[in-house]
Amino acid sequence: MRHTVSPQGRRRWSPLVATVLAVVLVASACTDDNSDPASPDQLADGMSHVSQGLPADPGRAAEQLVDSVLDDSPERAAAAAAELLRRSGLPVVMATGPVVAMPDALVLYDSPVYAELIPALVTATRARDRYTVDQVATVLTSVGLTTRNLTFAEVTTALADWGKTDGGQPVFATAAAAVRALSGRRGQVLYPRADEATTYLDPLQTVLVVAHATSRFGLVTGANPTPKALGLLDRLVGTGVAYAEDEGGGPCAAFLALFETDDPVVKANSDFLKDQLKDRMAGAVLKEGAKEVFDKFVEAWGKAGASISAMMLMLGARLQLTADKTGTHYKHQAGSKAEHVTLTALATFDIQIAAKKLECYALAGVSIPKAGPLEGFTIRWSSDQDQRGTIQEGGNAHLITVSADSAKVTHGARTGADGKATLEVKPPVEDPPGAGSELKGWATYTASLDKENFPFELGDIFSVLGGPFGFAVAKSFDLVKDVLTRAGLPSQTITIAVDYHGSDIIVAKGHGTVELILARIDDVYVDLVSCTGIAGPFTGTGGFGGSTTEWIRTARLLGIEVPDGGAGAVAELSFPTNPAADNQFLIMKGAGGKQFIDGVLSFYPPASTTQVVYVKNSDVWQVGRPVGELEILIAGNSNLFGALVFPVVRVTADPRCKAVKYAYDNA
Amino acid sequence: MPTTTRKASVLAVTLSAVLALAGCTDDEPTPGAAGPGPDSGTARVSVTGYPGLYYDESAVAVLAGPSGQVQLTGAMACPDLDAMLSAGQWRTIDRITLPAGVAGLARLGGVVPGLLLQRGDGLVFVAFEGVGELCTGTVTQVQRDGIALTGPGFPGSATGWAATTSCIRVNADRLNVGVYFDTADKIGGVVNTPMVSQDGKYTVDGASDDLGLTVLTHASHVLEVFGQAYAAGGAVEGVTMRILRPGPSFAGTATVEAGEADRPHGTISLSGLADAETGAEASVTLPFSCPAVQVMTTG
Repeated sequence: MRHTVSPQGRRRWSPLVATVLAVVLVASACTDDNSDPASPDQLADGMSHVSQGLPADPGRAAEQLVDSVLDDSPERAAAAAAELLRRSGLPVVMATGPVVAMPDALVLYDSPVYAELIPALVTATRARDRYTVDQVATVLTSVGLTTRNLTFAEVTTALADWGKTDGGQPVFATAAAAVRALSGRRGQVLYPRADEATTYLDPLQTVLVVAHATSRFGLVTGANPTPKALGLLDRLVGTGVAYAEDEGGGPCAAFLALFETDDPVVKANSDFLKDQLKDRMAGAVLKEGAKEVFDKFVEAWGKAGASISAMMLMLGARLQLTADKTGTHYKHQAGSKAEHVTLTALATFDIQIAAKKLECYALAGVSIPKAGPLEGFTIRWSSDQDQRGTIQEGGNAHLITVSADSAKVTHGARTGADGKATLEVKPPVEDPPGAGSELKGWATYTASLDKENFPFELGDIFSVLGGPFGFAVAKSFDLVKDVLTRAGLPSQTITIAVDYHGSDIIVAKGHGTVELILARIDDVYVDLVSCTGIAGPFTGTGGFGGSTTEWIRTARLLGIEVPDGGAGAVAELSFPTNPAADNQFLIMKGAGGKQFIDGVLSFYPPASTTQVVYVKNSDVWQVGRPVGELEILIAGNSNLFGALVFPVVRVTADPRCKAVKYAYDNA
Repeated sequence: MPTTTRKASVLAVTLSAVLALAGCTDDEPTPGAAGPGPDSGTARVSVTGYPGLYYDESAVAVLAGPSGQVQLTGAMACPDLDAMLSAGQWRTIDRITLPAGVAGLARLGGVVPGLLLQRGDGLVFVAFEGVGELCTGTVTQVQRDGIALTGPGFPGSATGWAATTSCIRVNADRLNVGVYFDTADKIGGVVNTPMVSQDGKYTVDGASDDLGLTVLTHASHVLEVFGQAYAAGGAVEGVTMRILRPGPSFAGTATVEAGEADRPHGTISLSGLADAETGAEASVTLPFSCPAVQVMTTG
């Protein structure tokens, strides 16, 4: 196949790319702005450096580039991001026209990325700006790819298998591996059952996903771009909504000479683009019998560039979220304010870009807004907190807003002249104070710029161009406005540690019927609780139900000596535990003191998280964190099928543990 | 009538670093990342020893065992744990799912639900087991060498893979080993081999009902079609299924190499097998490796 791409990394730069870089160097030499720490020539040089030593496998190379984006110096991180975008098929271009770098073979020609905006993309990604999966789905709907928003499950299903096909395009493998690796670095996995509230896409992931879902593909050619003086006719040449045929051969047209879109290989070989993200998404939707969702996907053609460029430009609107303390404790005395936490959101427009105006490509005609604090903008606040239980008067949150600030949560907070907005929150008061174990919780606060506000008026940033291009500008404007107002801006979060006193409640509970091939034993059970953590003591009951007759019959089959007596039996249990070992405990002996029912408590190694999950135990759902396993043994043996193994769960409330009361004061 | 003993402790699992900390810091302050809640670190959370095999906070325990074995326990159903592990950088090569309600009995025959995952040259099998309302996925490396199938229609010495799915010790002298395997010739299957130990040597008990060898000639993925056949109770379209039983000249040996007693590994050699339908003779040689052994005692 003529256009089979050689493994990336085998050669660091193709002759074509080297040529393009040379062009960039020439072009940048003509500029008078050398102060920009991430100027395009430095970016190109950095891309060359970060490529050195990368693995040949596209996925592994992408992982290393992701590490570089997140960990290296800002300059090197920007270079790594640019190289990652290039290897993912996205051309890197300058706002004035020259092409910084082209992909090796397959190019997403609708999605050139402005080199000048890459530092902002990196900053926002490292700062953990986030788009929910639904926000990204909204972008895909806004550009016309889908007729309704894809669900969380559909998007994550598509991403899970994307770019893993044998012989697939390296740009798919690179982009897909990068998206997964970026989530992996946050301890997240994109799969349908992942927590929708906390699993998100960062800006770099969003650019890759939107570009790959909506762009058309071309093949990189060997033509050398020749920049010429920029004329009015060049301004809208490029991709995006205002796509137009090049006639002038100016700087904006240089990009068009670097690829072809009607290559016979692409047309003749349906497998050439197999594994592309759009098809993955369509496949995920198709599983649910909703093929019509993609019926109008051609409407998205040409819109990717404007969408991702506008989103990247908006990343210049920085929200920095800080707190006057990283952790607090429940109050021991009503009226105290020492435990209060003040959150401050600082909104600025702070994009480091030399250009005053974007001359070419999808946002041609857009003026770069002035940097500075964003005054009078609305900050929206929300919080996500682990489950405290329901024993607290007035709610179960670790932190709530002080009454004076309650309106800021419901209506938003306006930034002042310094671009700042604050929110004061407080924990409840313990009663009695300081009693019990010290427990750990957390509260995460999210701040976002109101989606009705933008750091500038959209109409102001689009220069008025007359003539035949006015319509194209208007189309770009409409698209960008629609995408941004529907998807909104990325948000920022901060997590506050909250310690408090109370019972550290561990519940080990389960019951089941022993099903063997020829025998059945009715209900055996254990119900234990520790109010002082996994070291115990655990107290409770254990035993069996069912009729003695049944037990005798099955016990004979099993060679078990059941206790004498009536129907069922119950034993009171109390024993300490060693968290580092299996803890076998006697539940009850059989006739003649022979071994009958025992249990084993074992605990997992200490985990790095206390995040609660939903745990199903004996058909009852619990909210808590599994910390170990309880196993019931019959005659010293246990069930090979695991039917008598149950989760041991740390929970927040149990009637057998003394409750510390918590109530909010009026401070 | 046998009773069973499930010994999790037999696994002798050791505590490993739950988080594969990448040791990274951002240059810019990221105040939002502080604290113990979700999204609280910059670590890439991969299964230790298997970069790119990601897990999230739903995994409540991750324990590294011998021979590269890792157990993940998730507060979720097994299909969800399957989805999480297959959503990382590893590619799903094959997958076997079983009908609800048969997992326990199937396991006794070496048939377990699982995933075959590949990344580069790495190939691992993940066996799933519902443990109460949790699910445990056991990640083990598959074996690539020493596979041979001889007889009419068989490839002889073959390239492929073999994954040990279950090792159950019955009393002190008997070891049942289940193995999935497949070859580049698209002939694979599942074998359950009862071995009897005497004087340090293992022979295969050809008279045992536990001995079973199912060979599938297929066009796609052996685990997928075997799962379909298991659910359907017979062969599925496009797949030739052969049941091999000990014939008149049956001989079976198992070479168990020196090593720790609770982690036997070696080679199973079965000759004189007969096709239950045609009577054609066949021989099979497969590697096996038990990173853990469950113990079953007779009552």
